[in-house]
Amino acid sequence: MNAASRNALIAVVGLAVLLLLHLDVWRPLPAGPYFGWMPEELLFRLLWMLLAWVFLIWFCARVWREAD
Amino acid sequence: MLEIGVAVALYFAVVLALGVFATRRSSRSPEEYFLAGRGLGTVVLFMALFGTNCTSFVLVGIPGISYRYGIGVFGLNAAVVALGIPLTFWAIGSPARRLARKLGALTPAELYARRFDSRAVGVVFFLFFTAYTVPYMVQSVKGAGITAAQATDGAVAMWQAGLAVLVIALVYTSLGGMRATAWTNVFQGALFLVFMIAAFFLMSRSLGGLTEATARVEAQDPDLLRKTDEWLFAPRKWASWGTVISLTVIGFPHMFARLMAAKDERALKSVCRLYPLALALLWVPAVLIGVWGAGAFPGLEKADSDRIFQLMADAHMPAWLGIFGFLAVIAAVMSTLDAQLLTLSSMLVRDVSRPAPQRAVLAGRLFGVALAALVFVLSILWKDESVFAISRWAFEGYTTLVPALFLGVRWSRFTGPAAVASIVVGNALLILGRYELYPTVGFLPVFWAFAGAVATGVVVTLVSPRGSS
Repeated sequence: MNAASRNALIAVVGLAVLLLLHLDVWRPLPAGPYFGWMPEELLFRLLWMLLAWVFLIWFCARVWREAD
Repeated sequence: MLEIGVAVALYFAVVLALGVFATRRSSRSPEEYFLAGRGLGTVVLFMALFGTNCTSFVLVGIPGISYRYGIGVFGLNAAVVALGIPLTFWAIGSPARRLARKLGALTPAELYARRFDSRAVGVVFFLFFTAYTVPYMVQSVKGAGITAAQATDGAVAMWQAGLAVLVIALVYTSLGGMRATAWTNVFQGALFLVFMIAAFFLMSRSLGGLTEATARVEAQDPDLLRKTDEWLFAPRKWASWGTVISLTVIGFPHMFARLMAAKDERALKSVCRLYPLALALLWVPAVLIGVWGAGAFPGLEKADSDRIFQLMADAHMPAWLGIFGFLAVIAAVMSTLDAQLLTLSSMLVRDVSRPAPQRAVLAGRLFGVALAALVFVLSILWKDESVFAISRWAFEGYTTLVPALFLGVRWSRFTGPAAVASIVVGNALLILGRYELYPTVGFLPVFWAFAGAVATGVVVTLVSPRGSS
């Protein structure tokens, strides 16, 4: 498998994992509040956004080819 | 009241000055007017996209809906778009930008008309873009009106504020085209982003700190601090709405046109990296202000909950900063309205009516005036609808266009008839589903509309003779 195919596969798997987490099939966090105020739902979603952001940075570096 | 008048006058003066300045920096070519010479670099492109993307839906509608349904609104909307929007910029925006440059297309409808060598395809795109952009503009104008009425204790009526933002947006959009709207978006986007971050800290401090603000909500209605299974939080509706909110933005013609104006691929990539950060900075305050508002101002019903953002700004921020809250909403509204007016006018002139070149600008401006008048009338007629409800109607419609937008730039075999069939079938399923004329088995009608649009586009292409694209 060449690097492009491997990266495409990783991207598909990463996207699938993020979507499954978004669908709430598994909630890893115990009930909050965290830091004295943050509801568990908000913390979970912010962590999800952080994961998504890391995924996007990797995606832009490895999968998105500049055609210009 | 005097302070608000002065602040608004200053704001309008800055926006108009930017519009005039941009005009002087622009050449007179159509490519310059409609797409800023295809030269938007990272910073202006990012702010133009972000400013255009965020409207009173975020600053008025989201606090209002969070007031009623709680913290789950954040995951329902904000989290998933942080991934969905950048990915659609890559999947559709990037090839569309390249293709538009190659074909010399200046509007989204023109791009697909030239791609399929069919004027009819361009007209179909224009009609559906317009059908869903008009209600989206209505929610913007409504949001400005609600905020103005609240900020001035009713001294400025909703219709007066709506009329003012429409007229000002028309003026500077007519003056300088895409470059003017992009530059004003930098100012407007910065204004509402900075305000929301400041509002988050100042309001929480005024409420006794983050812990106290949360405790008040817990005492009022603990369900607001967790995601329940009601409304759009039910699993199948959650999945359906996740599809809509992730995909709809690329279907906004005013966003699509800005992507076509990107200077290069690198600028577009940089925007995708920045987008999730900016969304988090804007949406966390927007949702929490609504949730905290449920503890501070209980009892607002339905569309009345759209007032919560300005109620919180008035009650929990210094008076002079509360005025900025009002300006932030106006900025968010106008930064979208200008782009919508420009994009729809340019599509009419280039893709539908095609007047003689010397009449093109006049025709575009007249259409802009007619469009603004229609939006103004509808904003009065739909006064009892919430900002979120009107936006939802538009978002679901835009989602039905996405399969044709995607397949049109990513699949060389995709045909014009397939694009039209995909759009028509998707919209038919959306309308039939809204009237419950087929079983949706727990999903939103738009879920089936989207699936139907994809299937139709693929099947019609596969049964078409090869080489007919």
